[in-house]
Amino acid sequence: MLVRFAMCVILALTAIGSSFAEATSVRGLHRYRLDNGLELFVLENHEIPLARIQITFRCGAVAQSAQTAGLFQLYERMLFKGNSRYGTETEFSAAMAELGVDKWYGGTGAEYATYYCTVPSDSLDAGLEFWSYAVTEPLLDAAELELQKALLASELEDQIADPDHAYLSSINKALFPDNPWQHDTLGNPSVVRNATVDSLRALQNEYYLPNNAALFVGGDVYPDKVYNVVNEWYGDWKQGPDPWAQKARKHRVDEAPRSAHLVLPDETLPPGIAYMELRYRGPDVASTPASSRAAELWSYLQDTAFSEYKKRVFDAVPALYDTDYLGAYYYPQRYGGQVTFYAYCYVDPASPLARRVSYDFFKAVVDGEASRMASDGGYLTDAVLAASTKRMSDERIIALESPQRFLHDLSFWWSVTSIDYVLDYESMLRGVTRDDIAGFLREYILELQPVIALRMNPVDYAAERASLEAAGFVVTTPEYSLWWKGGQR
Amino acid sequence: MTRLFSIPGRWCRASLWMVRVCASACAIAVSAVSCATVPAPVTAPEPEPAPEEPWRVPEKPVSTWRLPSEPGPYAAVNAPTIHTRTLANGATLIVKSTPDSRVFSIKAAFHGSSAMTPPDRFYLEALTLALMARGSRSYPLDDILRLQRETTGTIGYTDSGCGWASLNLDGVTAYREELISVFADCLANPAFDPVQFEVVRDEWSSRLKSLRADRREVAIAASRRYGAATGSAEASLDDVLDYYSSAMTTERLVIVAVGNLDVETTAELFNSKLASMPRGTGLAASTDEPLQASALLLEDSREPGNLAYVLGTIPTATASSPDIPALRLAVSILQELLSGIVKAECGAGCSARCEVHACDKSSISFELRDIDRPSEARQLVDKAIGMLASGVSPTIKGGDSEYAPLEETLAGYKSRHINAFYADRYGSAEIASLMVDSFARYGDGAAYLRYVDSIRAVQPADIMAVVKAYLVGPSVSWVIVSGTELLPMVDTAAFEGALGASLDGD
Repeated sequence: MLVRFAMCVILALTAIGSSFAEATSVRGLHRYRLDNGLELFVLENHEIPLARIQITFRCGAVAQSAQTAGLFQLYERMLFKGNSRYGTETEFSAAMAELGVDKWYGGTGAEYATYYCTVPSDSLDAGLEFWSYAVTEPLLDAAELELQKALLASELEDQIADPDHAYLSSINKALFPDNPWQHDTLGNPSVVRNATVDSLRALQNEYYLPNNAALFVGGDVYPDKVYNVVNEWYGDWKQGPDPWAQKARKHRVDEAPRSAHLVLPDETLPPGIAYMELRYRGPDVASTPASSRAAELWSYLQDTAFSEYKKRVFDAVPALYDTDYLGAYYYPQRYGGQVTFYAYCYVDPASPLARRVSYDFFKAVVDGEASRMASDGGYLTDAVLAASTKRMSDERIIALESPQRFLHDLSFWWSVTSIDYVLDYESMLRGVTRDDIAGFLREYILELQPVIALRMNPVDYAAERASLEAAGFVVTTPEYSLWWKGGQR
Repeated sequence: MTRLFSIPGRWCRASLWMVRVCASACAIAVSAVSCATVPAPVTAPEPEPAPEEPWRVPEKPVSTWRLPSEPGPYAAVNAPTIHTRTLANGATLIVKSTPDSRVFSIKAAFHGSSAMTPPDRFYLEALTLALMARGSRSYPLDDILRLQRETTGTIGYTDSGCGWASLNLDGVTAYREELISVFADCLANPAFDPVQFEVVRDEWSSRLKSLRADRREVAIAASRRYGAATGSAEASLDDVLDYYSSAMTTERLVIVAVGNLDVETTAELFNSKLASMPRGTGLAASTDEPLQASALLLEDSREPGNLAYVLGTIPTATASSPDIPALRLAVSILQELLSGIVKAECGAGCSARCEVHACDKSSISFELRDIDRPSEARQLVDKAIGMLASGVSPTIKGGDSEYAPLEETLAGYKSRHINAFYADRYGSAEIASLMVDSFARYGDGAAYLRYVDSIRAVQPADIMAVVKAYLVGPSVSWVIVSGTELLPMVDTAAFEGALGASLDGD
């Protein structure tokens, strides 16, 4: 009798447990929301006895002001220097080692901060408990903060001095002239040096909240059991006001940059070889999802075997290096989508790079390919569009077969838009028409000006310097790239 | 690469061996003569000390851990998804049904692989498989490439040393039927197109060439470990045809399929498509033995610089030995110890590996990379083994103390080992590999499911027992690869004697 009663209780509890989850269109993926607003996604896949734990916040550079640029990086460091349960970094590392984890991964990027690790699945409960203290109750010890401020500021200065960073920062400054700090993932060393415990607490109270976070757990796990453990360790985490309620902004095409010409003398390129690119401000996933999807498919089309794009551009532009070393792609972001056309080429005195990138390359990829794709109905056939959509969808199925990859992808899309973008991806992709692609090209490429940029060996730069300067190209020095120093644009 | 020096250790050992054989032969001869003509001696000779028993891989397990009778949750949830059948042609079929998966993977694996061929012809099986993937009687290569392009499927091969090698199919479930038809035809009716043979052979020549530019590969080849890049791709198409018909036979074949597949349907499909595959009694494993233990080879890399690559190899237990889980765990801890010691004493890179093969050629190896004092390599390895044998491990928990008793750290090392072991094994193709490995080693495609249970069951006493039994006492095959400047300065005496010989005895 007692056994029967116990069975009934277990069955009843199981039934209650199952009701926590919201069904998704992906088999094995369960979606939950705790009372405090924390979203939980659990992917059940028992093939390997491991479990991944990943927590993601919507923050990062996009949440910075000129006065706080760099604080998210600093906060990340402090997150793992001690918390209410593991008071020191040593204790924190010891607990992590006990779980079989060498180190945590992740970081703070343009639009999110994410941290993850993998544990044996029989250590999942302990792993969830371990992470809960790190993300919900960091100590932010004042003495430790002083140490970390000095270390981080010094590291930032080293990274800022890196020519590669200066090049990318210069492009960002040109693409986002009104708010370059919202696209600067490193930040300002001076801001870091002046940080206080209070300024980090303010950041914590504004962004590191359960209702601005999502927990992704996947692998050899049982969803409702995970939900119960997460509720136990994260359920008391206090929510706050939605940090994005007042800040959401729509991408306006008139935010697009004025034309900029940039050049980096780059020792990593061998003499005789150069890199050229046209960078456009592309659609934003959150505010213009239809254009974003069209841009994704367009991006894939440029690289597929079904497309003649590479061959035609190679034939049209003098002295390009190889068809495998040219292409075009769209980088989706919530507030900072970008479209890039690029090619490696030979340095050729008969064909100066200033003209080749600004005229020949521009003419081939924008006036030629993009314009034709937008206006010529025969350029992109239904067969090529259908084959490309199918193949893109298949490649995605293969790429996301691993729960690790799937959750990573899910986390990214959650941070830049919503997971519906992932869950409905294949049907949305099939819904993209030739007209959608044409519309994207007209709005974001044909009617806007790109940032035009070159990288070339210093020897080659010296040889072409006069023609580059005459065409208005500016060298992307670290000094030029710093938005807080007001370098000329 | 050229061998700069003869093999001091090896020749020394060979000479001693020859002396002993000669002495024995003389003794027998003398004895025979004595019996015939000489009376028995008046006084008994001094009894000679019993010759020291050479170290051998233990014949019986030394660890005492036991696998729990009940499988853990991971094994329990997965075991019912694995089904085994014997096909009409004698091959084994193992299917792991994962109905939720949108991707599937099939491996047609041949047990033995390069263990079936002499080391200098180890590439024959891989060459044959590579050619099988490039066209069949019903599907020329162009058709296969077109299908691959349209479906994102791939037909390729895996060459994994002396355990097994396989022809592989990976694809999206939506195209399963058409992809399997092509795959099965490649397996049972390969075209063996002479033009494609030239392509495949050229690829192999390039691969061998690049392997020979790699110090680690040079050392492995010099120590004649199985799967090493010895020999050259000089096989003819006839060699490949002979090898296919005599060696790619169904009694060596296991087909492992993972994905949204049903075992009965899959068995029926392969029964209808693989009837023409060659059958045979199977090849015997090659009898060519690896390098004699206790050799020291010095290989000239003909590169400038004063850094060396050192590789030491010892034989160890076979895959089926119950000591293997404890041994693998022990070597992973040894790796941590060795890293700490090497980093502190000479700043070189290092690793310790326990390579468990499906054939009986399993080994443990120690590798020191970019070391400027190679003569110290053996001493560093000895030191790490000595510490582990006395129950000491790196603390892995931070703090002031660098080391801690094994009892305190073993749980963390077990978790770390499980994490590392499975880290990159997501996906149907990787699961299929685990299952082929399992079948080749234990005759059971599902055996891998209990590896976690076995690691969790290992106790500190097991670690110390396997270290003392397998790592203290064996003679090591050492190979040092470096430029001509450093090699003459190597102290060959530093590599003499058994591993762990300098330990205090416990």
